[in-house]
Amino acid sequence: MLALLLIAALLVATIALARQLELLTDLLLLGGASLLAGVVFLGLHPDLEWIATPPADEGSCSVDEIPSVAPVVDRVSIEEAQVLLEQAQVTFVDARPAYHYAAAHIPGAMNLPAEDAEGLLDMQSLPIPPEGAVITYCDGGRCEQSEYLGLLLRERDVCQKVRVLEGGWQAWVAAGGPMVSGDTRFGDAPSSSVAPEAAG
Amino acid sequence: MSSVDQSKQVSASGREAPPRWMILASWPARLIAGGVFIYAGVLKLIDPATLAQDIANYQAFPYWTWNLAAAVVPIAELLGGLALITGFKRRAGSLVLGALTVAFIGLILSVIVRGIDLSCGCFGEATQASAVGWPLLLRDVALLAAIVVAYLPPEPRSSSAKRLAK
Repeated sequence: MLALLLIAALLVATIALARQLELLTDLLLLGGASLLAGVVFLGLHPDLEWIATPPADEGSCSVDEIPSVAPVVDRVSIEEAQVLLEQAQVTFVDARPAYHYAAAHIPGAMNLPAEDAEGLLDMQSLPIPPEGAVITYCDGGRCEQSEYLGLLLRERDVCQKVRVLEGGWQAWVAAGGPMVSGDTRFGDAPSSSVAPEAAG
Repeated sequence: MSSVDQSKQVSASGREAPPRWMILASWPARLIAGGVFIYAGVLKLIDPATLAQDIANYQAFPYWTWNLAAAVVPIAELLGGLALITGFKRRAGSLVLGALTVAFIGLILSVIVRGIDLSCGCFGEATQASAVGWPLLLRDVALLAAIVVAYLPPEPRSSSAKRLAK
């Protein structure tokens, strides 16, 4: 909202500056060219469509291929998770796609995208001590991906003490939880090359 | 493009001649601001998905603008930067870049006020570590100053000059 107001104010200021008609024409030309080129660019990159999905809607992070599961994995509140993070008593596992993880994640979290978690766990083991505690999280809301990942980690006996972060990433960000960016996901596969194809 | 001789010609056709310092100062400003924005635009265009995610992380825009902004902003930066360096539509270019920079400054301020910690997305993935904060704000203010200096000298106007000649 604030941003939209800002943009409107900018537009007015810009037009006021561009009193002369010729400058205004140039400005419209340049802006129009950018917009047009941008739309064409978007059209040329249909793989970008995934970004334009509403983020925090209820159930928005459920993915078709992932079976819907009833919430059986215990939840952990944001506050408690923050305390556990500070005390380094828990390993966070990020169920979101690698590009989300690379952009920002909870410090120390490992990335295990829910879409290809089974395949990744087949290939390599997650460096979590079996007696350690794990908190899984995904994008937000009533997220089924972290639930699914929690069940998977239990089933594969990677870790039994698994809980799901309530409200997921969105709630973590809203609560001002610490975050870092970067590609240091578990294993050694470069994350940027993994995600879009696998998610598609 | 706007050498002193040209500006004198413009002044002969009814326009005030810009002071010499203005023209001298505008050259480095144009090269620096234009270069920075071309560099930033190209890097962003290489990886628009990351930029869209960075835009989303600002938590300041509705989701449907993320893709669009991730495509339009780098192209506007690229075109604006080219306009500044080549001198073609220079003033329009500096207005576009100026508006973008003011918007960036507003965004950075809002991020600082809200206390969010995120990567700015300024130069695509090249500078992942550049977090949003005061140094970034300072850099953008300096950039804005360069854009203003680049805007200042009047443009020789081909069409109005022709009109006057008739």
